[in-house]
Amino acid sequence: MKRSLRLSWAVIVLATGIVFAAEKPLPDDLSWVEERVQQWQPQAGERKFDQIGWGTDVRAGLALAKKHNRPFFVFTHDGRMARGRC
Amino acid sequence: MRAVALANDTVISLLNGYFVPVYTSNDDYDKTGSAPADEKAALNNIWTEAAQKELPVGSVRGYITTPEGDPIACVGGPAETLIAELRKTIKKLGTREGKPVVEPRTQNPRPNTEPDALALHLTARPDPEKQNGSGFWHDLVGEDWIVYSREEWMKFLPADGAAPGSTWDVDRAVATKLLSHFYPTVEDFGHATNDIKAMSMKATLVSKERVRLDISLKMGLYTYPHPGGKPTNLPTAVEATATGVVDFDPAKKVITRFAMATKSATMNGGYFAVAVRSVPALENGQKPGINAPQRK
Repeated sequence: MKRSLRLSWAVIVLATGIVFAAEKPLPDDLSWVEERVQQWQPQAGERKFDQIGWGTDVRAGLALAKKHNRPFFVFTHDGRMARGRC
Repeated sequence: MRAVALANDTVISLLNGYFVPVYTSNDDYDKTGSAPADEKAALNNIWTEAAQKELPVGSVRGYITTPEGDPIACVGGPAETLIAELRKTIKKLGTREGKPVVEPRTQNPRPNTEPDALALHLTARPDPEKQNGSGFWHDLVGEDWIVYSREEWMKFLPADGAAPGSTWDVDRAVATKLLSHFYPTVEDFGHATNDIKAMSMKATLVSKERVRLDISLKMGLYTYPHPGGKPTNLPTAVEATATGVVDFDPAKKVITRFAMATKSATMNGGYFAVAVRSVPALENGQKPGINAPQRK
């Protein structure tokens, strides 16, 4: 086989290998969907915000602060912090 | 701050042990927001008095007041700064440590729904396998709830008498209600303002009890810096493909399980992942809690 043709085939084989190696194809059965859903759920460390005992609103919080003689802390933000969309 | 300062163990311990903490969204407390007038006034009083005292006020800030509501500090930035101000306040006021005044609980529980509604929990996060740190905020995981009425979720099911192999396009409004949430956390105006450029949700009846959904999406997002007004013709930021599985009881015509995951998704060059799963209502006697399973 001529050298140029051998080189062309080598390039084609190499390129094909690179394409298939770049991304593993997903299996035809749909079990991978449930696997990903489980794997991508929030981790405990991603919900530490929930470990704080948040009051419901400013007026209720101030009333509790006065009742329990504690300082009041209010964090203001844009978006929806409870949903991680902020 | 949610992902860093407010996830810091020392901050959590100090807020729970010595303070009454509250958070508010400016979306609710601005002029057109949904908070009651008295609520807005209460927060505005704190802001006004803090400004008069020349504290470093801002829209994304932690405001610390005395038990009587008198502002004494205003803080943003990293956890170390917040910890320092919290400790300074505790020392100044001589506050004694105690248990949290309000019991900690999940801040994003499954919403109450009609008995026959379908509640879907959506997680949007950086792609664990391909994240490259770009395109959006990688510190936060977005979690949305999408609730479908029976009339809506029936659109995921085949027509009576359909044979395996049948295909149909899911109703556009039903598909949009879910796919408008397919984006990772970034400063934006929310899913309702997202601009879907191209979308398809093709359903295939793969067996008498299972539907497969194949999704493709291109969407623009209304993000910071905000151009103002109602956005139109936003550039495409999100491109995603996904597959969903809908298991159902054909005799009872109910969905028993809905699961969906992205095959690939990018936003402005950053890789992200979306997982969607159905979450049934709590049965009588069950305690409310964090309904989404957590990875250890």
